[in-house]
Amino acid sequence: MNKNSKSTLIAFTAFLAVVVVLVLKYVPWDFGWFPENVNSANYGEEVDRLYRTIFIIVALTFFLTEITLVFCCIRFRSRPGTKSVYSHGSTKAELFWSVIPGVILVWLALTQNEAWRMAKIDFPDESDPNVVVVQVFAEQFKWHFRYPGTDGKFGTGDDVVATDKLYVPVNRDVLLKMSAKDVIHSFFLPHARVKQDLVPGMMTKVWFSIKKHAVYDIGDPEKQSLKFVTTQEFAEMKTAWGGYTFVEEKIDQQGRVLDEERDKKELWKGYKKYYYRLNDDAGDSVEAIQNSKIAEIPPTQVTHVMHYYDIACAELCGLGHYNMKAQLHVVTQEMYVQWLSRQKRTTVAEKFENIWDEYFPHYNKVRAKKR
Amino acid sequence: MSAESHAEDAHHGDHHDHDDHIHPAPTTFFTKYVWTIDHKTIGKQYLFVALFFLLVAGLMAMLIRWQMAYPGEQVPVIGKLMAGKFVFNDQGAVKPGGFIQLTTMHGSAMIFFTIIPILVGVFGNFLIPLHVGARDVAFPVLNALSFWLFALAAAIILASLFVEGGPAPAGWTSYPTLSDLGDSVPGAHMGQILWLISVFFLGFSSIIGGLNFLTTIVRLRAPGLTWGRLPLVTWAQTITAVFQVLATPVLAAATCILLSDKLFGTTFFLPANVHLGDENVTPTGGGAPILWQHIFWFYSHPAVYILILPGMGIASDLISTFARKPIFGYRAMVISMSAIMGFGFIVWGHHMFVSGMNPVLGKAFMLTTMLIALPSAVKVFNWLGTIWNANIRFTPPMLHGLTFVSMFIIGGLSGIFMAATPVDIHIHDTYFIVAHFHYVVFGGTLFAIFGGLIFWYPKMFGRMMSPFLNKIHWAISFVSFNCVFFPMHLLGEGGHMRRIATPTEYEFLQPMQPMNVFITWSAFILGAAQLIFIFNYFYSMFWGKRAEENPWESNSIEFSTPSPIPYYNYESIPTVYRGPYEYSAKGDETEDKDDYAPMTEPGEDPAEDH
Repeated sequence: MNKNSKSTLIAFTAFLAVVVVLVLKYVPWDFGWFPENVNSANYGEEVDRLYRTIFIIVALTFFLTEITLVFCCIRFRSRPGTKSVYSHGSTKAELFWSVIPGVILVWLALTQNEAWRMAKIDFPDESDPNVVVVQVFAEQFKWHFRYPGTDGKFGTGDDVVATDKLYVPVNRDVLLKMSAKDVIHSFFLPHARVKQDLVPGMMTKVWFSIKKHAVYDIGDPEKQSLKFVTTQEFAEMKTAWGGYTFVEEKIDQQGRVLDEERDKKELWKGYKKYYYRLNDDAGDSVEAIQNSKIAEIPPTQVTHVMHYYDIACAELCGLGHYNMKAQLHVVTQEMYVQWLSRQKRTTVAEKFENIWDEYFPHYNKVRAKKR
Repeated sequence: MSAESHAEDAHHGDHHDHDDHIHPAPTTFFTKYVWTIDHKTIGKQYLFVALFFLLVAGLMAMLIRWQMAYPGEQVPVIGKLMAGKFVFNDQGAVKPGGFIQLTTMHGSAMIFFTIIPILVGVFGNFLIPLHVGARDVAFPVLNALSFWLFALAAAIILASLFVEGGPAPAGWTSYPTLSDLGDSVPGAHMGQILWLISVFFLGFSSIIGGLNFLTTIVRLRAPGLTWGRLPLVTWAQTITAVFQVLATPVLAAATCILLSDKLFGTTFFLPANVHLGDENVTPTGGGAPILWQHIFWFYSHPAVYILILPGMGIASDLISTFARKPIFGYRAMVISMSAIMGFGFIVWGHHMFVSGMNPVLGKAFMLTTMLIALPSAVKVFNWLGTIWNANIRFTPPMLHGLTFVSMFIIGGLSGIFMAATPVDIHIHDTYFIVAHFHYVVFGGTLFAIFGGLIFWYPKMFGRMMSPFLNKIHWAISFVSFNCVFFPMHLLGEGGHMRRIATPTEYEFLQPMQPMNVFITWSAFILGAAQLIFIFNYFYSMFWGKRAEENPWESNSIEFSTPSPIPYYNYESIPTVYRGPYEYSAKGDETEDKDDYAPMTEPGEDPAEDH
């Protein structure tokens, strides 16, 4: 290397050092696109923290390499009289940029193992009464959730099955034992960083614990928004809850109620206002409102409305894959007990049990955690 | 040591069972262009079929993007004409079943019928004999057979578009039980069966091709062409050929087993008591759906390295040539590509982290997947090392070569997120993954393909493409490509799933919809820009500027032949005196050739002094 290129190398290295400092200081690890993480399981925050770690390493590498590329294109472009420096490489440089990335990559791999173990290997103890165990049976294109009845055992005739709505109490460990009836589906809960395939003929498991309720703030028409609130904040809100038979109407800026089919274009542009109304056809849920204290709040004083977290199917499962959604309702302990007690046996439940209990009775066994 | 004794040593080392004489030229139209055994014409045959599929798959992508941005709306122009047919519903919009068929066929056509045929069928075929200094591949008739098997596979996959139920709908990954049960979704019967048969023949073609290329490179190298003087393009093809030979039979096995399930009622991938609706469709089952995933990905992961390695080789050659500087760390480049191949066979489980396979395997595959990033990183640094202290000529091929490096950096870095199993829980099956593989295959490989097509155009057709149109095409493609695929990382962070026909169905996705619209319009611009390249490509064939022998001042052997290259390649088998990267070597100033030293020009090998 001649003298000129040596000074270029030094100056450029100094410049890169400045870039490193700037990137570490100013590049946000999250562009704001992540849904809020409400998973209070031991691995919940870890997933995001690990993402951030990788992001910082990746951002640094990105800026260092791409800036070097652009710099070379400008500094070493061909002009009359310029020539390359003949060189086949440098073993020292090779070692430098082999060993350092190698160490970083191995470290990254090893540092992730803990979170993976917590999420996918160390499940909560099924026999622990504090753990909410729900069986999930997916089919084209619905999610069925089965709860053990008051006896706490599956397959004893008093089980409760809900379709497309998963109710869980807040801050309790929820263990899902899952399988699929027909094709591979995948249970995806973006707000909890939970994803697990449901495979026919197999039982897969996933667990989480949700620390916040999802509510819609409809008190102020200008600021309607989905919020995630702790139980304490929730208790302070005036909340109307009609069980799982909410119907929401979307209203455009003129206050006209939008129709799903007719007004598709408006619907995805985002709404100015939500207007929640209880579905009068719900039957027992209207009774529940009348019977519960919450219903005594007049409609005009309702400021917040229970909402849900989206559950999506994340494995191509056929025609209705795009629409195979379920709702995760995170409620207080009392609401949960109340909701469970109100569920009636349906034909759906019988169908679920006919297949699950008949062909896969071993899925019902509770295995206490080995110590 | 003088160059001549070197050549002699190499000559003794090689077996030259192959005669040095020139066969008589083909005379009829049929023997010149249809049933040809000339590797260069076979390469062009692959090219025209692959370019056709590039257009078809690209059009499918446009339809997918339209539906993503404007769900349920009638597709302009085509929608009205094709309402009720193919993937369109009666209103001329894309129907949900059609959407998943589009995503399946877009992926399948791009991977199996565009990229692999161009990388291996076009560049492999055209360049390997030229680069080793031979007249043709080791088995020319087998080579033609490879092409016709490919053409048969192409015909079958095109036929699958028109059968009842439509084409295969279960993703290019074709997971059972969706792909296995004929009634699970329209297209899962005839369309899927034809897909499997087509892929089987494709595999057959690849395996024969791989054997052919390996034999050619091992046995037919010209005197003086040691392994250490082989261009990286050829090294990449060698390693790719090994991949093809070892991995493709596994794909063939997978397709046969799935076909057996579908045609002969076996249940390799079907567990017992699968119910479609209320009907028990597998009363006597016993198979495992995850087994398919293991077998499929055991091939398909090496397949994605097949998709990138030849591009890496092309990029290396383009960058070195136009930086007028040897490739930085030739030996490391070869070792890296070999390491990618070695590791490539033990990372397949990273596609299956949340599949239900034993999570302990997740730990193992995470480690191997992180490690495979290392050789790629080394290559990137070496490319940067090549252009450091260089003398860069910004020709269209160089622009594409540098774009390969730049986009491959992004694609490779995004891969690290997915290699991390806990992070993959969130981003698996989202648009983050889509962003990653489009950055490496489109941003990387396809740009390298453009660069290679432009670079070797004079040798293929005897003319030059218009550099002005090439630069316009490159500029628009580069900008719009990033506008399409970078935002997909953000969508993936948000949890936007793949293969969903109507994103607005989900509440948490609705705020992201404006981004889908932006991506769609960028995609339309990207698609339209490719027409510039297509026009330039075909126009220049007939009316482009006539090319001289070595328009790029390259060292490589094929640039010591006339443009276009005659059917016999070389008047006499050349002797090689030095490696392909001896640019700007000290003390190599002769008249007219101040900064390059062609491989076949007698003289010293500057690399010997180093």
